[in-house]
Amino acid sequence: MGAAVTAVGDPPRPAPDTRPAPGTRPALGQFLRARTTPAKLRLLMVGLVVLCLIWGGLAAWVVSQRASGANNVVGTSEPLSLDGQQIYRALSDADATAASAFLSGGLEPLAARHRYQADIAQAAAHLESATAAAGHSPAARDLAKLSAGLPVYTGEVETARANNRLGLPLGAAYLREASALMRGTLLPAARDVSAQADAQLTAASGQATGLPLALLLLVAAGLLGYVLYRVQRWLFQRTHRRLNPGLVVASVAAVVSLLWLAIAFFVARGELLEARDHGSTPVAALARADIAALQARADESLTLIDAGGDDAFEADFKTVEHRLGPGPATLLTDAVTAARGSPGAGSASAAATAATAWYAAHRTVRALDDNGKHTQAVRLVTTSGPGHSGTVFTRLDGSLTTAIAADQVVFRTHAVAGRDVFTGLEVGVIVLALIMAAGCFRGLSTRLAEYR
Amino acid sequence: MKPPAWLRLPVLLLMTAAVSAWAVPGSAAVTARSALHSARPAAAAATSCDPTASLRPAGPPQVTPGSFMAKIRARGYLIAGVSQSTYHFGFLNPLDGNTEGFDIDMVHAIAKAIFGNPNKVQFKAISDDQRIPDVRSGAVDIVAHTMTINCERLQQVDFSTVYFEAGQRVLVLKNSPAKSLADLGGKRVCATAGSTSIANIKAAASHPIPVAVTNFTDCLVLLQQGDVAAISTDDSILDGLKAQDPWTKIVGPVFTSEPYGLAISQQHSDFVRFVNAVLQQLRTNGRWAASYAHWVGTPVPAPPPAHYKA
Repeated sequence: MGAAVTAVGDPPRPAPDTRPAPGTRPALGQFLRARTTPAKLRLLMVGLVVLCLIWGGLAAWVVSQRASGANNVVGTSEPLSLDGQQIYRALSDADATAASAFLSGGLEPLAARHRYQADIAQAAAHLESATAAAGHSPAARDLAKLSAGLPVYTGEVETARANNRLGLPLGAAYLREASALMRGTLLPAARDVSAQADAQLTAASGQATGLPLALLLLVAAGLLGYVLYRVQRWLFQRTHRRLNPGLVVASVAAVVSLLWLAIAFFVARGELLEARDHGSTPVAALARADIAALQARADESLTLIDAGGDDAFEADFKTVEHRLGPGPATLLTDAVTAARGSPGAGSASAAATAATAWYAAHRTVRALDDNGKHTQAVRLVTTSGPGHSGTVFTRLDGSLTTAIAADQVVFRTHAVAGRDVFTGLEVGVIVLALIMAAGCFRGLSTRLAEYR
Repeated sequence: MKPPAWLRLPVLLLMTAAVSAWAVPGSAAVTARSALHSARPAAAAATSCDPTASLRPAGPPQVTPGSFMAKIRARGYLIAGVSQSTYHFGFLNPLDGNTEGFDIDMVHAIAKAIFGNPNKVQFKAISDDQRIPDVRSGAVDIVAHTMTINCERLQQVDFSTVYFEAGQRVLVLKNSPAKSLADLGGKRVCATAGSTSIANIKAAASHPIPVAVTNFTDCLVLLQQGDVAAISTDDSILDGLKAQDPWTKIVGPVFTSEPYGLAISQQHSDFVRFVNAVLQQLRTNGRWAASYAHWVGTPVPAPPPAHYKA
């Protein structure tokens, strides 16, 4: 911008100062001094046009990098990351729901059946869209494993139901088998998909907000501006004309493109960082907490179903409880910290409170079961009522789901806004670079014509 | 406090007279059984003992003050370690959520003798390899879990008299050509970890590949999915598996003798005698036969006679 302002605003000089500070610009100065004026003008014209075109290409390339990063965030990585989380969540919920439905004995509650079916439908739908989005990324193999394993899992759950309806203890064995498949194969694959999608999202977001390329572009713009300024100043001194319209147009175009780029980069970066800090980061932390909570919930039910009597599931519950928190360096506390300042913050704190209440309710269940009151223990887990483990868990799960949904909206809004900032920018800088090149050509060729 | 030598015979005679009022006579049968069990291979041979001889009850079941039974009564319920997945012996009925079966009937009878109420029981579902540790630690008062009495186990826990007689056989799918373990060399054969059955599979001359799981229903899952070629365990348990899958059959001869006993801590010999007294009542009052008919089927054989230590 300095170039244009200086060119326009320079006070008119009555006589040319033929030796303007020679030591400061030896290369260009000596080069120009060595030739006749038309030769110099011709050389300058070609040089400036080439410089403008190079600048246009560079700017367009950097913009396309950023725009594709932002596009990737909104169009691929974020949906894949969301799919990964949803698959993981739906499968964990299916595992917990199937276990607790089984636990209620006799006819399973209709609500539980519907919830299980909705989970499976959701997992299948997200599996399909994730597979489409993943292409040949590393997540593809895990997604294939999930696609192959899901029908086997549902088959075993249905076999469990069929045997259970006949009153055969074989049903419980099939449910344990199904749960082992879920926990041993499907959930780890879903976790990998989720982790890979999150890594991809972080990379895309980095590409859209990274500083090095933007700084490179700004330095290039500064250089171009300086060159334009020097050329106009030289022409002014040489020809005593106030303004060269072609070069003025080129300078204005350079200023416009520089302003546009700077504002777009600044705004998009702000939006995308906001999307990350108050969107995807808390969503990922909340989703991790929710998935851990669902695993513990399934443990609670499976302990009560487990006819083998080993306490592996209760041991797993304790491990997950330890990991979930709340407490220093636990999933829930991390999620509350990550959600601070986002719309999900309130629900995240509510979830932390509910978790503590749930552990207390779970201990009541264990105390009952350990003292031979299996039926009462099952009732606390499967039915709703004040202080029932099932009810308190629903509160925990519900709070986390609400928080995730709220922050998901933040992410979506800001990421889309960040992406939309780049709309037209790439074409814009190319057109402006062409205008700059045309301006330089026109401006210098007019001067050149005066020598003929 | 041993009686002097000259008193032993009369005391023994007196006790026999007292017992004979409610005991099944038939010392010949007892001898026959001991002969069969002493012929058991493997572990039993290593530690020679008379496995089925248990402690003689001191009369009809009675909760004497200061006894372990009095402690159980004070607690308010009996704690029994059972299976919840062994169809017809100890299983959680999915239709009503109750633990049921032949083993469970034995436990209810003991609870009735202590409390006058057969339902004062807390059932604790335990796996096969948890049975001995749980009895020894006192986590359960008694284990009723298709548990074979043998000399190796007798070194760690006490057993009641024999309340059921089983023997190991082989269960395969109906289309299987296998007739016994001899035909299953190199094939995968399933049983539970910590059972005598898995030890017998390992020891089989044909070298089948033993596959150990937690519950016998897990074995049936594996069989149905084609992951194992056969299940080999007590015929009593195999009957329960066959009842859950009509496409299976039990083949081959009974190749072991598995006398079932209720396992009790070695510290509670008063309770062993009490339980033996209860079992003796069941043998004579028709309840044993009724349970057998209900869970195992007809024809109902004579109950295994009580065999006591000399």
